[in-house]
Parts: sequence; C-alpha cells; structure tokens
Amino acid sequence: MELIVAVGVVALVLPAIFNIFFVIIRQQIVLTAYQDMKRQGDSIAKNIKYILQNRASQITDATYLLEVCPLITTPTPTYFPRIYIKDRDDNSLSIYQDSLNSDKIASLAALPNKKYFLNTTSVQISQTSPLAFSCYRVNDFTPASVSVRYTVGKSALFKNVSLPYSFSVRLRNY
Amino acid sequence: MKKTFTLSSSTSLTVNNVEGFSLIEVIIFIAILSMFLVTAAAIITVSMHQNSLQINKVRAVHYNDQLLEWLRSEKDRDWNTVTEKATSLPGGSVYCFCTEDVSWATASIKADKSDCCPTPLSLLFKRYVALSSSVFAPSGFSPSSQIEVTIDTDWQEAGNSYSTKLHTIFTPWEE
Repeated sequence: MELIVAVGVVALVLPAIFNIFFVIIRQQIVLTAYQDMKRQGDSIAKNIKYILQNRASQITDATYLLEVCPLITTPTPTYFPRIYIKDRDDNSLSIYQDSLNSDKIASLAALPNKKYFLNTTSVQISQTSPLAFSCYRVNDFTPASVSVRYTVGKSALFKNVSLPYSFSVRLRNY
Repeated sequence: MKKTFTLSSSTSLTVNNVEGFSLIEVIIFIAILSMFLVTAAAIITVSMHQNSLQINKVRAVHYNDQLLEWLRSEKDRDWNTVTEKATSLPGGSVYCFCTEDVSWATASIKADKSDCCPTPLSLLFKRYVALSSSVFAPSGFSPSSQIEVTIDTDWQEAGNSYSTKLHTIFTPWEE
C-alpha cells in the first residue's frame, strides 16, 4: 500500500516538474529569439543607415550610371529588392537579400568584388516580407530619401517569431 | 515478526507486524515535500513572469522604435504636416497607433491616453505619441521651430502596468 502511494506521488510530481521545466525552457528560448532578432535587426538597420546617410551620394540603376529615385509626385512608392549606390568617393556598392543565401542581407562592393553579410544565420530575413527599398526626391535639387523594410524572423521551437523593420533615411552626400 | 494473540481458549489471531511509516514520519515527509513544492512554485512563478516580462519589453521597445522611425521619415518627408499634427493636437491629447501598419490614417486622437487602443496592438500593447510644437530661440541665433516627441508603449501583465518610453526632439532638416 505504501509503495503504491509513493509511486503515485512520484508519478504525479515528476511529470508536473518536467512540464514546468520545459515551459520555462521554451519561454527562455522565445526570449532569446526576440533578443537575438532585436539585436541583429537593429544592427542591420544601423549598417544600412550608416551606408546610406554617410556614404551614399546617388541611388542608381544596376549599371551605376542612371539615378533612379523619382520625384515625390509618385503616389505610392514602388519597392525594389536591391539598391545600387554610388558613394561620395565614386565607389559602387549594392545592398540586397542574397539569393544564394536568402536568409542574409548582403552588402556588395563592386570593386573589389567583396561581399559582407549584415546578419548571421541565427536569424532569417523573411521570404514573405523580404528586404525592399524605395526612394523618392522632393524636387530635383534635394537629396533622395530611401525607405527600407524587412522582417527578421527566427524559429523558437514550435513557434516562429518575427520583428518587422521599416525606416527611412535621407542621403547627406548628395 | 509474527505475533500470536490468544483471544479465547479456542481462537487465536496472527498479525504480520511488518515495519511501516509511522504517522509522525508521514507528517514530516508531507511537510518537507510541501515546503519544497511551495518554494519551487514561487520560484517558477517569478521565473515565468520575468521571462514573459522580458519578451514583452523587447516587443514594446521595438514598437516604440518602429513608431519613432516612421515619425522621423514623416518629418523628413514633410515637416509642415508633422508640425500641423503637433499644433492641432489638443493639450494632453495623444495620437494612438494601434496597428503594426503605422500611418496617420490608422492613428486616432484621444483626449486620455487610457482610452487608446480598445483593440490593443498584438492584443497586448497600447502605443501612443504626444507631440508638442515649440520655438527654440537661443540667444544669438535665429529662432527655429521644434517638435517634442514622447512615445509610450504600455501593457498590462499579471495585474501590473508596464511602460516603455522614448523621448526626443525633432528639428527641421531644412526650412
């Protein structure tokens, strides 16, 4: 009889303890996921802002020759997946979501052909809400404003969590 | 150990006296187990609450950042619109932004911030911004308009109220 009671108590207490333990672990994983996404999402934003604000002088087409930002009269901005930039020293670079490694945002210098990733593989850039840029100018003589949006996501056990980012930067080296 | 009791001259009763738990042992065991379980429950409750609070803090800070970035882009796009929004806002009122899609069209003006977001953002957060326009006139410089921006994201959790706040001042890029 006593053995049955002891086994009964253990059988009730142990699953309860394990259940609570796993709930806490799961919560910790979700928290870590949010912290990682916030850290990396902010880092991506900081890098893109730095490049656009402090380095970029023109937003161009893929040939790095023609300026592409329309005047603000365009009612809704058209978003494009890749931005081509001429910097103040006439160097060319582009920022895009790498098609070979689509969960990373890449910054590619044209010469020398050198690629830097702005995030690690511990977070993913969403495929459903991928990296996108749009730009406009108030008039012909004002610097372009570039809008950037992307969603950073991460899998946290049985839950996918994400943080959407969007911001706008005005070029200072126009 | 076997004990034999003689009940009468013709009847006898044999009892198997196997060693078991005494009442005092059971009480001590239950007391220790209860103390352990109550302590564990308290620690677990605090731990789960703290985890949940930290998750929501990260989200609230992100919502604040998101709104600030949007306001900054609006300010860059059209300083006059933002100034107009600030000056037309009655004293003490706030703009509530209760959706992830941030725009003036989705914002509502409330006289009391507690009335913001009847349907909270992500079913939890109330996000609002107070704007106040003023003129900054340091001696020796021409006066310049500026907008004071205070963004709050509030939420309720386990009966407590929490808030994250962002405070900044916008000045025009060019006038």
